[in-house]
Amino acid sequence: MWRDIEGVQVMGRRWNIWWAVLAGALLVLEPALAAGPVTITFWHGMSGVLQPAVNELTEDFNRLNPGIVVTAQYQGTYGALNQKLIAAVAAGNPPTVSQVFGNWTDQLIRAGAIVPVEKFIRGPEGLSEEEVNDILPPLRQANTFNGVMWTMPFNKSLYLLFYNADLLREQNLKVPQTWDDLVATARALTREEGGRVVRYGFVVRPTTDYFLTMLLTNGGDFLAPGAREVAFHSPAGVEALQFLVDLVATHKVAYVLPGFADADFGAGKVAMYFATNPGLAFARAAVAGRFTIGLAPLPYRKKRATILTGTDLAILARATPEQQAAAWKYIKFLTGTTGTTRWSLRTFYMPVRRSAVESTLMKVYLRDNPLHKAGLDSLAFARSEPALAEWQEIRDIIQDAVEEAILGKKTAAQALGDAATRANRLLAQRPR
Amino acid sequence: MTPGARQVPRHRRRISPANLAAHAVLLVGSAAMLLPYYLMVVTSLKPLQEIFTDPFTWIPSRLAWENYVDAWNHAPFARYFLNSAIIAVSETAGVLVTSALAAYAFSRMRFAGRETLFLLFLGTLMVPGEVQLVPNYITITRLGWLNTYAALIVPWLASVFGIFFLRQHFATIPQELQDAATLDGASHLTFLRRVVVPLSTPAFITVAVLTFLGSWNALTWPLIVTNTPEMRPIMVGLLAFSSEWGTQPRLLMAAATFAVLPVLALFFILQRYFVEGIARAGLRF
Amino acid sequence: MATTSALSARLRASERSRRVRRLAEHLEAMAFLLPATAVLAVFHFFPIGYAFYISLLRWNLIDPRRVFVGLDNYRQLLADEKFLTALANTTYFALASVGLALPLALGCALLLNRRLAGISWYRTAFFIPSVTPLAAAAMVWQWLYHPDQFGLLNVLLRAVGLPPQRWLLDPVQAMPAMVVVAVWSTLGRDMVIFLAGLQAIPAEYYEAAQIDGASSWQLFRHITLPLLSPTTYFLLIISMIGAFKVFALPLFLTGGGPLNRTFTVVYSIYQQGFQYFRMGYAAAQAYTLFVIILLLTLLQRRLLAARVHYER
Repeated sequence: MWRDIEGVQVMGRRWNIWWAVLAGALLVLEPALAAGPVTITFWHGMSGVLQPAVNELTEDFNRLNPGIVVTAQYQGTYGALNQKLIAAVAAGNPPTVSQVFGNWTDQLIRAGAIVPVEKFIRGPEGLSEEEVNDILPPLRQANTFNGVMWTMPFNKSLYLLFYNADLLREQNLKVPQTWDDLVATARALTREEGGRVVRYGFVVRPTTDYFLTMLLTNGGDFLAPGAREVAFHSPAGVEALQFLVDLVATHKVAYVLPGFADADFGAGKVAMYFATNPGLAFARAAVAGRFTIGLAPLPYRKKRATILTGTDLAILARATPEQQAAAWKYIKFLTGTTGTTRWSLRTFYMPVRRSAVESTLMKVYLRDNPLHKAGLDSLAFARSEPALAEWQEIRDIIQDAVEEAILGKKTAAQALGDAATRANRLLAQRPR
Repeated sequence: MTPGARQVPRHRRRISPANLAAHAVLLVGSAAMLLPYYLMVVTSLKPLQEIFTDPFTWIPSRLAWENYVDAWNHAPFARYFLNSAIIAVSETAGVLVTSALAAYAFSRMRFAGRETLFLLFLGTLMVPGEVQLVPNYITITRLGWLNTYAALIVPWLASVFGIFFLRQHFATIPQELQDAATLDGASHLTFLRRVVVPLSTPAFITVAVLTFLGSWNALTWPLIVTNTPEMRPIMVGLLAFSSEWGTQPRLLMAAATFAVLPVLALFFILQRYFVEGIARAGLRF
Repeated sequence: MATTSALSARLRASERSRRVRRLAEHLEAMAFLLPATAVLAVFHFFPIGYAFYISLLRWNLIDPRRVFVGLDNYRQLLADEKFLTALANTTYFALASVGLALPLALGCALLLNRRLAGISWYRTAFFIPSVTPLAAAAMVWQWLYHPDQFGLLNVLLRAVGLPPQRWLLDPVQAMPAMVVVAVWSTLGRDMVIFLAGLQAIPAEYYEAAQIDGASSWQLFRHITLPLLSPTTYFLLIISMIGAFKVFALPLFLTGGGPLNRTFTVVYSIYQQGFQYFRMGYAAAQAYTLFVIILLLTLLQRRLLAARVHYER
């Protein structure tokens, strides 16, 4: 009896301790609780069919986390988002989370405008070592600056070969695996009628991306080890650019087009082209069911490769610690296995985690949507572009070289050599 | 052909060779001007399979009105229309008032530094908006105007274009009229309201139409100073159909077609005043 | 002596009253100018002044470190080949587009300023391009200018037996092709402005001259042109300023290519400021452009202002 009473007393004392702890916690949390739920904003550039996908995931997060309200706000194209983010950081009222490109991140870090996600990865709501390693290696690497992970990869796409599957089947052609296959298949698919070409096998867009994909599949690289000099003008690069030139000028199996190729593809004017996986929605609209679209990993010469592009998620430094903690939970939700799988199924973007690639949900989905396979297969050898503030300018310099070579103003070697000189001058000025 | 085109009414009734020639030139000219617009409208009305074909389809096999329905449902266009109307109407009204006052001062009042100040005004047009964007965003933030109509309207309430244009028109009004009005004891404001404004109807209509158009088609600033669809104007709605990876011509062209209908209607109605203006201007002497 | 002093007193008094009147007019003028000036001061004079300060810095607007570099940015751009190319392209564009658009717009306005059956429709047809949103217009023009034989313009060329052209992909043709789009899209606006100018010419002038037996050309040369000069002067200055600031057109139509042949100064400002994170350098480019446009405007004023007929 007494013991019982004592037990009650003991228990009572224990309860008191708990109450004290709780009260203390309340005191700490009070400002947050007094202000109601933590509200945070997410700025993104996801338009069209992508916007509902963002909203749906955000609504689900808000439902699952009653203490947090995330408002996802569309801020226009990436160009507009970039301008607005700079303006808002300058004015001191940035969002809590934003989509950012690697080169923006580099700049935002230097300005002290964002906080590293690594801080939260190692925090109480963080990620286990296993979960961190689950993020695809090229993406982990691209989001890491000086050994610290600053951002989390979000919407990632990669370059693939788009082809008119019906045409290939009619002529008993296999999907090209190598550069030589690409030339041979393009030649077989190029058709002349009455002295003029009515269909080309392939189309060359004079863009940095077309060249960079060729550079990588020829065993080349963006930068020399140490990232202080560029390497795109290596023999591998010169051959890559020359190959694009030859497709048009020597083999005459491709034409040059500055704009998107989906329109010509849909009209049957070209049988194969390179585009990133979100381009599938546009290709489908252009084709409008008149033939079957095929997707395959890029043809290669020295090694299989492709470029992984797209934005990452950053947490802004201006936000309060509570907002930053909430932002991290939101980012964890979006980029977790379930989140990234759902995102991928809705948008054709690549999942950012290996576990998502191997998930049952993805396997079931692949059975009904085999087109998605080429992208997932390509993830194994995909590469991210260097995340340097200067990279956009280097891309524009490469663009000049590609145009010069394709329009016959310079040889591939000259054009790339000149571009490398300009790019290296730029990298030399980079603050260390 | 009479370049000034002030023919006496009885000449107008006859089908003269000059008029036939004018019709011929205008038909060819407007056909050339309308060709790209035709491509836009016809694309907006094509079924999906006919948008990209080789050879190009000039006339769709059927009119695909579903494109308009799909485009309309893609974004809160009703709200966008309302916002655009509110912004464009307020801006136009404001610009007409501020421009008339300033143009009057520049053209019909004498004060020290008039030419310098005018050049200073004109100078604001010469610095590209790209370098003014961020400072203005900061101003709007400090004023607490982000995501409000004020941010969308107030910065555009003065138009150097309008001031300059009206100044040119006010300057052509004969000095005798002003002297007579001054003798009758009319103030500047009275002269402006009673004489200058009525005599400049076509000029005011022009400023109104062009200001309205500029406001309606604005994109960068409205996007930068708003955050929510509730505050955004029509041109932001068109963004949904073009992206970094491709465009959706079917929806873009449909939306572009209906988005500018109000401006076209406004122009079609108001351009009649250009003819009425003749009669009024003729009463001058 | 006394009379002179009385006279001078009276002169002083009238001088004073004139000064009072002048002061009153000054105040009234200031009142008239106040609304426009207030808006311009906050949203133009201030940011423009601030941009000058930025042009003296190496700064991206967000970094807490602002490095004062004096006139370095200006010195740098004098040796910047890409900027000088942009400047040359922009000048080419401005001269060509304004040189084509204004005479064409005047011609259209003269044709449309008459009582003809269907004149409202013609006017609207000519105005439509200036209303069309650029995103849609650029896409349509890209179809027209498609560089291969599939392109709509190339199909037309083939129909008359001419070889296909590469248009926007050709370094020589790209700029003229862009000028055509610019003229297409500004013609309607310019025409409307000319129309308003034509309305302001009193019909009596023409009637009197016609009675005197003046020919159409004489009417145009001696009445229309001189009395339209305030409008022409306005359009020339405004169009030149606008053309020197061209940006959206190459952004949507060509991306500045090929070989930077359609790359313009404001495109460069946008690129340097927002894409390469060099707002200081971008501001210096903006100020260089400002000085160029200003000098050009002053030159136009010097050459033309005397020939502009205002009061009649």
